[in-house]
Amino acid sequence: MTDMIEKIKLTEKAYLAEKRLVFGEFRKNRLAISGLLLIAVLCFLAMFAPEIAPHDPLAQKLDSRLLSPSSEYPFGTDELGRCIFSRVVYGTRVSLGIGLLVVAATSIAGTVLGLLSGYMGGFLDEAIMRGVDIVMAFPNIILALVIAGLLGPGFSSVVLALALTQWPVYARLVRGQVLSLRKRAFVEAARALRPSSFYIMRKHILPNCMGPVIVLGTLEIAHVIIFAAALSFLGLGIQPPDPEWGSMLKAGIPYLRTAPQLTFFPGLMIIFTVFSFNFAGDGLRDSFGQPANQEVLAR
Amino acid sequence: MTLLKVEDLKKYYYSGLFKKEVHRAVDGISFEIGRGKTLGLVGKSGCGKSTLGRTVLRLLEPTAGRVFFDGQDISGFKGSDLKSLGTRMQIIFQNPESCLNPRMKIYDAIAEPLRLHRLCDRDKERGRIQELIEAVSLSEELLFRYPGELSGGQLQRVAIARVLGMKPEFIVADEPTSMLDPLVQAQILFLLKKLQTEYGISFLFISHDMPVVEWMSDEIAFMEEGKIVGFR
Repeated sequence: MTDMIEKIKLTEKAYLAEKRLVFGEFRKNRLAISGLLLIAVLCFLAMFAPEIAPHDPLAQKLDSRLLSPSSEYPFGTDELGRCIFSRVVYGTRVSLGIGLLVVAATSIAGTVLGLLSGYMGGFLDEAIMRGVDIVMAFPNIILALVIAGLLGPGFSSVVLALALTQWPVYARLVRGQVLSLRKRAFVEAARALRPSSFYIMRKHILPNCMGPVIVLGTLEIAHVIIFAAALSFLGLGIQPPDPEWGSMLKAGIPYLRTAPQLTFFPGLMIIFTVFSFNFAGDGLRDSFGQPANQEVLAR
Repeated sequence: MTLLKVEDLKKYYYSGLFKKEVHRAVDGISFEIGRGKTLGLVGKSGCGKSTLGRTVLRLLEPTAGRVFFDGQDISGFKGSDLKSLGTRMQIIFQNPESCLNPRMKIYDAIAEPLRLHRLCDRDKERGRIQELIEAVSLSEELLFRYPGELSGGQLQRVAIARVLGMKPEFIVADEPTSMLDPLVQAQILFLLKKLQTEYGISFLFISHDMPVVEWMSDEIAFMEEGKIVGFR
């Protein structure tokens, strides 16, 4: 009886040890874990914004303008008497929404284009890579400004402007992966079975280049959120009165000296969000055990 | 009876700014392999042995020359004709560590050709794979592991089992044992020879290890700088 229990304990130990091996690299990294926790908090804020926010983020109350933080208004009020805490909480929805949407769209599109370009080669490769060159030839922010300016401000034009400037990063990363993978023997072995090119890309190439794409995607969320805030700050993104951290910063500038809470809290949120995604992304990269990829590092 | 006949096969690579520089990897090679026979191919590294093997299989497109397989000229095969060759002509690679998809379980790797060419019904698949791993004397418990968890010798057996499932008539073995230690090497060679007599497979056996080639082959071709310089 006792040695049976002992045995069970031992197998349990072995199981746990194995599990630790997989997640060990990630768990060891305290920064990555704290990043992940912060992301969880942000997601929670975004999901339950109506329950968490004490006030309507759009409700103006002109007799309580520019109040300092108090129990009624945890982060104070802005120039129109709106609750900054509620606005910041609702802003999480916008920023996370833009980040996730843009990264989902660009990573899928960029991965598909990179796969085609790397595997098919020839004219298709040339065409896609020249497209990449064209987009990358302009500074990202300029291109995004032009696109957002042409489309007019708003949520969907921010997403589109960012998506159109960000896809080349994935296309280039994936193309590089594909070029090295297609020389490997297992891809040649698969080709010897004479399936369609599509089959090889889906079954053999794609699963083997997903790791770096996931890492890049996580880091890109942070990048995209800053970018979106910058666009809003410049007046081409989300428009007032909708709560968005970038446009809140802009609105707070005239009151920097008298009421710093207008800029302090949205700024803090941007910093927290970007840090948490960056830490999580770095941790992911380390736990995938790949050398710090230049393409990933460049961001 | 001749299974494979290669006539004046050439594979040139062009490089340089105006594609003027020519590298003649395979330069006008002709040979024949009979059913159930083995042609050994010996030569220094970089002499075009592997390129020849891949060009014969049309994994690389030949620059010129013709390949007859079972009486048919396969040089111009396209579409479904080419696809049907997939089961009949196969290849085993040098480096067992990279010849299996690291994200595919052993079971799926062996089942892949069966599924792709609909070689057996879904409900009989399990039984067929059981047969195949027994044919290469591997234990069943390896089936649901990933390639990274297996040794070189085991991986090479898996690669052989995978190819064997298609009942190929012709296999290019590209230095299949050069990266294994001597004991495992001997086991794999015995296995290949045993399978050859059992299934009547023809081999193009590429190697630079003379004793190995001598033991495996019925005839040996010596290759130098893209050309065959002698048979024995």
